[in-house]
Amino acid sequence: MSTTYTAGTYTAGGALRAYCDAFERRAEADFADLFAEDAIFDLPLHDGRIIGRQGILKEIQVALNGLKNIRVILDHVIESGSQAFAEGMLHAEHIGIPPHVDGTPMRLDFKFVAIVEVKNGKVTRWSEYFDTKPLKPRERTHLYPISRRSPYWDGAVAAGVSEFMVYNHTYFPLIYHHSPSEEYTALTERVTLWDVGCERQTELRGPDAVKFAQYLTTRDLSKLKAGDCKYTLVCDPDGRIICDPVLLHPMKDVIWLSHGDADLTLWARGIALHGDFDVAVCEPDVAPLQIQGPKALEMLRDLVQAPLDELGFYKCTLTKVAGIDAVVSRTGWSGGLGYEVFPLSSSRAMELWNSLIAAGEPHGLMVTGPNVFRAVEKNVTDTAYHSNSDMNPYEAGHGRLVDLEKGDFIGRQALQQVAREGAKRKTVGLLIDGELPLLEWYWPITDRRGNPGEVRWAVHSFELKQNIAIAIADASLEVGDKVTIRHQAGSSEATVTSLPFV
Amino acid sequence: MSLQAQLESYCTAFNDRNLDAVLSLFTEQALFEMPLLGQRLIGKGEIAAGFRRIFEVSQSATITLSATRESNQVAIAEGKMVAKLHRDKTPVELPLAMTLEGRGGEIARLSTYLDARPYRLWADGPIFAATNSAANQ
Repeated sequence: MSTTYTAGTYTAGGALRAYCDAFERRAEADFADLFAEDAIFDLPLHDGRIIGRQGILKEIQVALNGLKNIRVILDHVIESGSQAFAEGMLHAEHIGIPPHVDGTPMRLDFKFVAIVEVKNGKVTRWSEYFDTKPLKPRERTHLYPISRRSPYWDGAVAAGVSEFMVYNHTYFPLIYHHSPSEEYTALTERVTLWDVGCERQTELRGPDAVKFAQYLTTRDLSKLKAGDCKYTLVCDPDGRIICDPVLLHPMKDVIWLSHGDADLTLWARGIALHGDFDVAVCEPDVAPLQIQGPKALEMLRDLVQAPLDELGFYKCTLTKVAGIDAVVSRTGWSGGLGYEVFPLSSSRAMELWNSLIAAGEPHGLMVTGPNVFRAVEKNVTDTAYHSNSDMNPYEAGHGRLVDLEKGDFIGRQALQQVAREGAKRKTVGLLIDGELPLLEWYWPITDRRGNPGEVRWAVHSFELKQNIAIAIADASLEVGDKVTIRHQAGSSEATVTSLPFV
Repeated sequence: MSLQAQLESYCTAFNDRNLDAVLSLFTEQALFEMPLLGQRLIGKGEIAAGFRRIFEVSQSATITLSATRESNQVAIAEGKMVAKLHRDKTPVELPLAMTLEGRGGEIARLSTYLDARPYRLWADGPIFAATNSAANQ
């Protein structure tokens, strides 16, 4: 489709065609002249209408960031004075929703009606009508009663959750009804709320809580004070990573290891049973939420009793949130500003959730899952990166989290040997040319050495506008080396780069 | 009958929940598209089954058109549908558009455009909720 027009003097039909033409070409700049300052924009994707040119342009930019190979076909256009009514079809491919396992693109095809009104040559109203079902191509996860549900379940459901993973034996809401591009924008420019009730705590309570944590984890805790948090590792006796929890010391004689998908409480209880520690180990009824994004502080400031502006990075405080007893920590999985809220009981979980939703509304809060796109860009991995790989901390790029001189801890002897001999593998970034299929198992990478590693995470980078991956690879791989990724849809060329990506 | 008049007749028959009157407006092999039904319906037999289903699950459903434009081939209208399903406690209002193509004074194609998310059961609808209205029907 192509059209010609004189900037700023659109008829209704001309505006309609100009919009579709620019959308098809992903020409963001061409929308700038189209809308009146007080224009209104109705899309089924939004609960309310967008009012104002700047908001509309932003919405269009976000939509275009999530689509490629766009075709817009107008079947019928009826122009009548200052209005145009049209029926058409949009064809596109998603960006951010991975292709099918066989590599065929995840398509977005739907019919729509668009109604346009113009005044003084500018669009004053753009209304679209379509069903949003095609925007979420995968059906929801099949659910089984054996997996636990977060206490925020009803909130995630109301927010439109459609896909879960099972994490710590608990359903973990990952995918909602927004596009990856919309969620990425919300996280990087506004604020997001994540139901991470599946992020369980291993609680160590008693006079030896810190001493036991010192034995269980790899970092030196000798200077740990109540209110401190530390990102640390738990290894097995062979030095392999079991998980990489955030350690919180919310109060005297209490440690929480806020962990990824691993049976850490079972492990810790087993160790405690046969150790000489005055400590009780349990999984407390503490189900966290994450509030992540640049507006997280503004959103939470009035809701949290403690002075949140004074809470430093990797610090936590025992306080009240919306009148509910909770620990708040300045931690999270976004690689940017964010907080975690740990209510001390799940009895008022939905009350807390609803208070956060209300507090976030003026800041454009969006309920999402953890944003793996941003996490990979920022090299914020989790237990899933280390699992099933025999990976030790040095290979994972976490050597700084191992304090070999702090005294005895589980895995110390094996890690001393790795430190002495040097790690055989390392974690690298890959900048990928072209498309990738859906990653469901690790992809081997090949080069002149043979098979020097495997891709463990791969996503589209909205900031770099290309696919990126994190791989565990032979230690001899250098930045700038070319490798080939072998996947189920064929192969892709990639260049080794340093981490983080952005 | 003009296309706009056909559209208005359809809305009247639909709002009256008059299946016979609705069906009398369509050609034998008409195409009816309605996201709430999940698929395209072709021919009076499928269309009749679709409307029976709509009338069966809904306590009330009313379409109101706010503007219609027509050409020689097609009428396009916008408006809203307010529907209350038996399972729901309160009605839901859905913005809506419709496109109608006629043949010989009857409806050859009627396409309804709305976001059926509030009613979707298997993708992202409220079926998960332990406390939702579906559990109380």
